[in-house]
Amino acid sequence: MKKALHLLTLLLTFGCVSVSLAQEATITGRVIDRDSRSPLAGAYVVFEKSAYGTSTNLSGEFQLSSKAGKITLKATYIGYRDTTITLDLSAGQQVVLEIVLKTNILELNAITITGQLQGQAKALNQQKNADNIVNVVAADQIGRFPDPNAAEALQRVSGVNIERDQGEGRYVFVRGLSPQFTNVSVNGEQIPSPEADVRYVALDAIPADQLASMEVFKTLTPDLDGDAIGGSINLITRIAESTKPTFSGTAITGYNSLMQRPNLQGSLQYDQRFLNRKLGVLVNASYYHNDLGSDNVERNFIDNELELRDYELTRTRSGLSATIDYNFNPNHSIYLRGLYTKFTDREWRRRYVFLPGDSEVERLTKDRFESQGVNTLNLGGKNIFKRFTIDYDVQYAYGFQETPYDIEGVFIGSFDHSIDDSDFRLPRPSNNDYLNNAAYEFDAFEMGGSTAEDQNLAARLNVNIPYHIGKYQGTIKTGGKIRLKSKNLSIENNKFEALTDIPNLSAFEGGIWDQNFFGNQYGMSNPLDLGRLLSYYNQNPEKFELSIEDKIIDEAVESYDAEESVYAGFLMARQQLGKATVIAGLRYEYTSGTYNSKDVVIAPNGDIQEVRPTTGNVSYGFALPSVNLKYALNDKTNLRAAVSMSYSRPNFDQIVPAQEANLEDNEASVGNPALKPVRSTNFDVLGEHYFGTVGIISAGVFYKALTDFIYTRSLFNSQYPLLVANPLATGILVRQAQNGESASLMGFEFAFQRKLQFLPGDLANLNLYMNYTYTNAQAELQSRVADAGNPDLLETITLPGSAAHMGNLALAYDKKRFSARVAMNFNGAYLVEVGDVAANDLFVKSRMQLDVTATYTLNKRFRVFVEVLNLTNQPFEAYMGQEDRLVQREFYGWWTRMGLKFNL
Amino acid sequence: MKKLHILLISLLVFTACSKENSNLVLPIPLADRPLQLVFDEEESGVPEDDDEIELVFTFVDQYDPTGQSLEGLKLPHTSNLRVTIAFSDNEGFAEWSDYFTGIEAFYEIDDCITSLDQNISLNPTLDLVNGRASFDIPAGISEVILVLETDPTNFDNDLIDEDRGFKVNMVELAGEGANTRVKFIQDQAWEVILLDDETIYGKWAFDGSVSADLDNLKDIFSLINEDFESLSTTDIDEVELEVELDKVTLKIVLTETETITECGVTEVVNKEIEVDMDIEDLSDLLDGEIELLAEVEADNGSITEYTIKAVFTVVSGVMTMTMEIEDGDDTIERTFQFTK
Repeated sequence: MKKALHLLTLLLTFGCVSVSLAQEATITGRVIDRDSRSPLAGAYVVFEKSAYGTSTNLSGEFQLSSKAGKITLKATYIGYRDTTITLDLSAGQQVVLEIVLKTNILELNAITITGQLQGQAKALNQQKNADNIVNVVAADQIGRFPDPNAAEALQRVSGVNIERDQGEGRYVFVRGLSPQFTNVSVNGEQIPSPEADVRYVALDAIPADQLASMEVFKTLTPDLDGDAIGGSINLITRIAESTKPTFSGTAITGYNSLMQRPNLQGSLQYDQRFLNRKLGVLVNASYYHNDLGSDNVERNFIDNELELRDYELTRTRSGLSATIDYNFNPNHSIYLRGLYTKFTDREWRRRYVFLPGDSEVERLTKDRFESQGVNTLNLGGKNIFKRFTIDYDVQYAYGFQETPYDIEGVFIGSFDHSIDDSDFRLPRPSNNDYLNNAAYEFDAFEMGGSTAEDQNLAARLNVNIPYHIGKYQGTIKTGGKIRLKSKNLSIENNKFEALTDIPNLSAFEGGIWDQNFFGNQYGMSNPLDLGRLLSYYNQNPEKFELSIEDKIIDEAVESYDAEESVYAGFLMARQQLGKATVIAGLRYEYTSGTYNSKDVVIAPNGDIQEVRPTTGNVSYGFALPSVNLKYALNDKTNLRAAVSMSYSRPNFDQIVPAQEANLEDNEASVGNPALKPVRSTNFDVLGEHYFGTVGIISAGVFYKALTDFIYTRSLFNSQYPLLVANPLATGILVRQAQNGESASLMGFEFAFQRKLQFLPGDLANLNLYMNYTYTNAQAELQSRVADAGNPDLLETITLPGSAAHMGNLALAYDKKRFSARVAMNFNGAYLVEVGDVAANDLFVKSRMQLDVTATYTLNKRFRVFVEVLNLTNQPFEAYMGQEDRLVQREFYGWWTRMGLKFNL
Repeated sequence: MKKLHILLISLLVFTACSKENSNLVLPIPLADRPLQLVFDEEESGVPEDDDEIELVFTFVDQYDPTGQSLEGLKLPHTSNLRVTIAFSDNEGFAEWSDYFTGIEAFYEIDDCITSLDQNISLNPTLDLVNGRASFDIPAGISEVILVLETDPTNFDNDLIDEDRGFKVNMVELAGEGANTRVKFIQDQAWEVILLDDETIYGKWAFDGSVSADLDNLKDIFSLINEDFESLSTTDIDEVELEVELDKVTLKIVLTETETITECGVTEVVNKEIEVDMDIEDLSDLLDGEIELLAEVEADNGSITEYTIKAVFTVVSGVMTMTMEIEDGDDTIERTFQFTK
């Protein structure tokens, strides 16, 4: 009822103010740099008298409305001189302006650092003038750090940490919440996940140099999607800016110390505006080829196992983006934007698995190729009318993950051995008998493949209406959106076992392997060459038998298809009250979904008993009010506060109703289509001060109260299926994702960035960039000591994925044509998996990566650079319960990139 | 525009560097896998005084792409096949003609009728000079049983001789015609081992009329089969323990009778209680240890495993065996005597 009243109030307000709209004059225009004529995104254009203003978009464009009469406009931009313009407006007049700003920093005039401080300035201006709390990473900033993909570029933002795969950033955690709590968009619209089971996007599939900028919204306004508890990331592709044909790009090579192989990277961009700047065309292509690898030791204390894993990978990233935009006139424009990305990953994995309890050692080799991609096509536009503005966008987005082959061969040898843990960093087998390849007999090989597809068709329309209430100005914005999603996963998995004697491992050994695994701390012998094994199989297929039941179970349980429809509408007002700007409103999102999968029942005797189709339906709606307050103490200092509500949908592997009941082992895992999304009420307070020399100091606190937190609950002494009158089995253990009691997250973040020009001599050329975030996140869940007698016992745990400490520290030196930077990125330890008892909780150990980069500007058009990443060869480490119980150590070596950047 | 083309072509060239196909050997597609004709066992044990040896030739179960058959199904081959097998590694006899006396081949039409009943000949032939035999597998037939008729007196002596037997291999598959998908495993052998009944192998009798001995038997086997609990000496007609190559069967023939009808024939027979146990370990044939595994299926289909560990000696037709079985935290140990 309260929500309905709130909505009614807003609607009445909307109705009252519309009367005054006829008196308005409309002012539109662009703010550009005097020297380069490039647009200044994030510039603030303000009525000097009323302090009401707006910030420019990525094209430097702005729009304001005013009553008739004399007005004075002021345009401000950090690092530039303020410019004022006086206008005499008549009612209904439409004025088009081009506001030219001139830099006031010596360095910004110097051609030698073109594109560096400007990038930082763009980002900071957008942050400063945004209505909500947002961090912006501009394209030029992306180039300053050695970050090849979008995830790694985002790790430099305060409150953001990343999860790596093979040393490369992949998933993004915002403010200590795991990736499913963060919404990822391209050009303002959510993109589908290429991966099968989840909604979040692996950002290593997106090359950083495809992007114009990245925005991390930490507080939500009603015009943003509401399913973003941690934050909302928006990746913005580029648009043409110059009327001259511009070719820019990179030619990069490098070296990986672990693999002792070079890498290759290149990009080329063409952009130009035609027809008196009306038509813009931009095409950007990039490619990155990287040969990498890792040395990995994994210790399983529960099953007393030890694994040595030698990885070798070839990864490529291809990106192609294109934008065509057409401005009919300053008030009416359309665009067509396309983004194609493809990430490929060929992985060879050679393993020793020591199983002292069985007196066995397994030898395995895996060969897997996987490609992932996100393709988007946006058609949209903006129309500015006398009384209102509309913007609209239709997007088709397609995410895919295709694994054409995933092959692994297994040989098993019998060896008496134990595991020596005297050095917990280097657990090792007690003897070297396992090196004898002739002692390994064929066990099985598996050939799998899968295709996951996720498609979104989305459309949105926003209407923006300026109004006056007395002397105060404001705008009302309303809009709607529909998004239709279809997602599916199909897999094939064939396991072949021997029907008769197969030669031992020595008959199939070969191929390349790491001759310096962990610095020769472990003995290694020739691995299984899968090519030789598969050639043998192809010549003698009659000697192998397909494991039919394994195939049926694997394929049935994991495959699914899903359809989801999301309908959203919002109404919000942006009101200037002196130095304060208030954005308040309500968003409503309704979701309906259908999920189809299969149940598999394994009979008490171990045979497969039944495979049957199953369907789940869900629908839910959320009213999401929010208030953002920004108070400008002065031109460079803001205080901000926000209260908002948001939510996060369950992942597909939790909500798809697939069930696997193993009545032989008396346990079942059961999907839960009735799972409710996690809801959160978010509170933010932040103070920020911007330095005229392009810098910032900011500090803030945030708190999130989460309800219906999702976790895996163990239902003791339960029945299968759940909630039916005549179950197939009773007294069994059922595991199911369920909504928990509550969770909370509070944190503090601090950022500092400025040129240290107050230091003497050459030290004045130093720039300091640092940020730090502290989070304390806790969830209340079913206790690990709960049992059939006391199933509702609760315990409090740290929220998985939440690191207490994380931050960045970078020191840069910029002088004339030379620039160098040392950057450290730190992630504190965080819980990654909740164990059966607290002592078995799995944590990722804290990690600090050191990268250095140096650039020399040859002239206006060419720059050369060199980067060294992971200089100190920091491993990925995970431990169980306590830090000296290391369960994984993975080293990647260091790698470099060096090359040429040009802008012709 | 030309530069745009160069850019796009460059991207395609780069895409080729993903190593998707370099040094890659993929297994043949599932649809191209052969239909596999195999022996249904790797080895079998035949009592030394048996007059026939059965070899079963079968097709390996295939994946049912319709999903109807969860355990897989026998996909029929579409043409008549003729299989030739070769005998080798004969031990305990010099000539094939010393032991083999004839051959027969058939397939089951249902549980009661075979191809022999319908006068369908699989044209079996036996070449005793070269140690070969051949028979037909008609199109659509997924399992054929080959019966080698043997001379039961050839090995039936009072000597202890553990090394007697021979091997069988498939050596030729003819008449495939259009159906080239059928393959057999060249080096797969079926080993036939002749079981010497002067050792642990063979049938052993147990005196169930002695109450104390029966109680010992019940102490061990009531855990595995609850029908043992209520047995008394008056219920028992005879007790037999049969030791085969890979399993042991304890059979209690009761005095109580029942009328059964099988394949249209009705007869009155004694009721029986049976316990089947797999031989997990056997250290010696005359004086050693044996480990037996019994699996009991509950009403809901769940399987419970019981392990019996025993030591035994065989002396002059008498086997003394001490068995032990775990009952919770307790170990029950009983000693039995069996006679030939």
